[in-house]
Amino acid sequence: MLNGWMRKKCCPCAVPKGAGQNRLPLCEAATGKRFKVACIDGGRHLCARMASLGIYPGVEMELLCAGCGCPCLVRVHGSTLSLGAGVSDKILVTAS
Amino acid sequence: MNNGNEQYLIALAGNPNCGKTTLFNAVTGARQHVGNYPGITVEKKEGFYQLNGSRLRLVDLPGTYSLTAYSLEELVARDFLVQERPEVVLNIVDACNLERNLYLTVQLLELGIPVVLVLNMVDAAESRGIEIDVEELSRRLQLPVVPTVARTGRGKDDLLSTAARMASEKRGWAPLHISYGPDIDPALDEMEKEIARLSFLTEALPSRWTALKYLEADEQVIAKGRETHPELSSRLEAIAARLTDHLQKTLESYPEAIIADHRYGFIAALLKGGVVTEKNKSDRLYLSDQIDRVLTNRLLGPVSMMLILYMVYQFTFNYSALPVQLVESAFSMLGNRMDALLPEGLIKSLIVSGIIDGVGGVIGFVPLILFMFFAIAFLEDTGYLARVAYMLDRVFRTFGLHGSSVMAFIISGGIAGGCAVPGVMATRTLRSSRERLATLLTAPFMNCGAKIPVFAMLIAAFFPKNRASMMFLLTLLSWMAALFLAKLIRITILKGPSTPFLLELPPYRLPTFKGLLIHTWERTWQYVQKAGTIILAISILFWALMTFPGLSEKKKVRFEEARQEILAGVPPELREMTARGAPEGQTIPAVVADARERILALDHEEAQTALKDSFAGRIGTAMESVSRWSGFDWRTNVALLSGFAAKEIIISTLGTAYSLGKVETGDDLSLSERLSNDPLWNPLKAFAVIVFIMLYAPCFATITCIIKESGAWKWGVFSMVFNTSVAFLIAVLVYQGGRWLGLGT
Ligand SMILES: Nc1nc2c(ncn2[C@@H]2O[C@H](COP(=O)(O)OP(=O)(O)O)[C@@H](O)[C@H]2O)c(=O)[nH]1
Repeated sequence: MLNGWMRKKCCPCAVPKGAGQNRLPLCEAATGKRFKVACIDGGRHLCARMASLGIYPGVEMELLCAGCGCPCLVRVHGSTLSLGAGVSDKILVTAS
Repeated sequence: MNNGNEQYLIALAGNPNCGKTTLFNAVTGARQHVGNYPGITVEKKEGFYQLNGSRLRLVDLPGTYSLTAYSLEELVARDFLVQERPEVVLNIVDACNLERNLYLTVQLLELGIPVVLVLNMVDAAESRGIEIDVEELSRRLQLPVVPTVARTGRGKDDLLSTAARMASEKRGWAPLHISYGPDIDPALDEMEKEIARLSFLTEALPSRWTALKYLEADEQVIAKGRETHPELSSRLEAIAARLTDHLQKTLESYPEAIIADHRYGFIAALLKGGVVTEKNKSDRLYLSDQIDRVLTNRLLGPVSMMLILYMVYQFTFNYSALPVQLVESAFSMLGNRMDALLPEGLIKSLIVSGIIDGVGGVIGFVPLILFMFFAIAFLEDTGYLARVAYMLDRVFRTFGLHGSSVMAFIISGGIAGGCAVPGVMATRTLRSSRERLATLLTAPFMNCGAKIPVFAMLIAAFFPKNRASMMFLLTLLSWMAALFLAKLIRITILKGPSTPFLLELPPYRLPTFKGLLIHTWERTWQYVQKAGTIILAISILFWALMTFPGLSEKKKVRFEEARQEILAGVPPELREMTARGAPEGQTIPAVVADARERILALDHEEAQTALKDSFAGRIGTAMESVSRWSGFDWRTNVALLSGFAAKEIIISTLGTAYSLGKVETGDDLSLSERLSNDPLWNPLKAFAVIVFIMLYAPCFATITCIIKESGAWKWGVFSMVFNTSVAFLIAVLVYQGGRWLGLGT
């Protein structure tokens, strides 16, 4: 019953042409560093839920534990969020 | 102020883990009522407070991060605010993390509802060196701000009088206007005008708020719009779609993200300039983070998790053993008293075997459940449960479940000896409905404390040399069955993508004892209420099935004649003693002892015949044509049938069916012996029976819980039919496969 515009992916997440724009999925990033969310490669609903928890393009966050693989912990807007594998691999980040 | 006798509705709103429940308990104490919101499992708590003659009705809303309809909790909270229109909302925020917590505040303010900001956990904030200028914050937000410590009750009175004063002022709703930047603002203005022109929802909601919901693709609001103002709705949707498209192309972003960014921007500006000062604002690791370094570590995490879960298990089962025993002996004493007091007959049988045994069996679990819920409440309130879910999510996800499913499995008997009733109830911590249903349908496959004695009896009879390894094998089997059947359910009837795992990990906190007790008590009380109603009816039903229609007159006469015959063989002066039993301390002549034994054997045979002739016995006999595939005869069938009422009854029914009289759990050796000598039984059949018992329909207490927790009868029926079919199928496979391999002779 929902129209296309509400279903679509929230970001196009196209591979950027320019050099130096190293985007990588959050679960491949290094622990303890700060990152900036470049885009989120998910459906509108997931993106919206993430936004309500403070994860959206442009926000800065710190990866607390990546050694654990794709499920990981991030610190964003002052609190710790745990992200499952299906979430963290959809978040593309750049070093900040 | 007010002239008394007024009632004000006051809602408590806040993020999960902000201390909302603790504050609610501190204010209302024991005068609260826990129920569910109609039709769903989100709990609704209400309490009253008397203040200077006016009555405050406090409602605890579910913890949420936003007021957009992304989850059931958010929907419930929003509907309550919009429909019930409370006079005041107490917005509880964690003072240690204002930035995130104020996000909900901003949304409440945009709605326009009168808010009192409750700055909770100021004690924790102080110890972290966070200073908050309460007056300045209050001035900037233009609302009352009250610092509190919910754990100790500090600030409670101030809060209540502030709330009552604000309620009595009966303010109108005054929505806050936030700017969302050059892209969104024009669209919002345009939509606002359209909404205002047609007065769509404007009697209850600010038009800018409705416009925002359209931009956020809020399904509930859009559905409402399409229903009442289809034309307006399509125009609004067109604007929203255009904007969404534009944002995607130009910014690689989407409306929710821009909106969230501006709200956080608003909050950052609000807190700047000395409202919040952090003394040691380095990248200092707080204690909580340090604990997490160990407890969620890749290697140490799972190890400590095993240890902690094992401790929970030990705590629950060791400490509840004594009270469980006490309750059981209280019931058996009651049974014995009734046995002695009441005259022989149906009424006595109904009261003793139907009501007391049935309800006793259920109430007997209460101490166990109490301890279990206490342990869970502890893990939950400290914040550890969220970590467990996080660590186990990967494993459980493979089977279509969720990290939080593990608790339900363990409680149900994952380490052998739990109980599926609290297990099913523990699935409440799961948010998403598909995973939750799959969990509560498969948790009963675990080896609960009632199945264990049955297994122990059969193992003693047929696998006496490998007791421990058999038990271990059964535990493994039940986990495998539960996980694979969960997967089966998730790829068939509960098909659908897994909910993405996205959870805030609250900082570790020490729970209050009072909070734990209230938590525990609420959940236990719900269980007890159930025992009083449905379970009573079911145990009476089963009693009737196994009692009626009773022996035919002809057979009764035959047994009586046989008894008289034995009596006739005893010298006349000893007949009295044979019939009544010898007085205390008197030696019994051999002839009397012998006759008494034969009469007892006759009694047992009569009981067996009566059972075979009862409705349950007839059903069991009729089922033989099917059950012979798995090697079960009518005796086994009746016993399994009685296991529907409660698994531990299987032993006593088998006892009756094998003419052993009443066999108590625990002294089942004679039954073990009897079975191992029976030509119809062999290790293969025993194993088939064990597998069947492990997997077949949950007991009625569990089924009642499944119905209650899932909110639908069909899941109760499903678990009965599905589990029994699976159990039968596997039992047939075991039995026929074993025979094919030449076993079981
Ligand atoms: N230090 C401190 N801890 C608190 C305070 N209020 C609540 N807590 C603790 O915070 C945890 C979460 O509280 P709870 O009321 O369950 O949060 P809810 O999820 O918002 O209902 C519990 O362990 C409480 O004991 C407070 O004012 N100060």
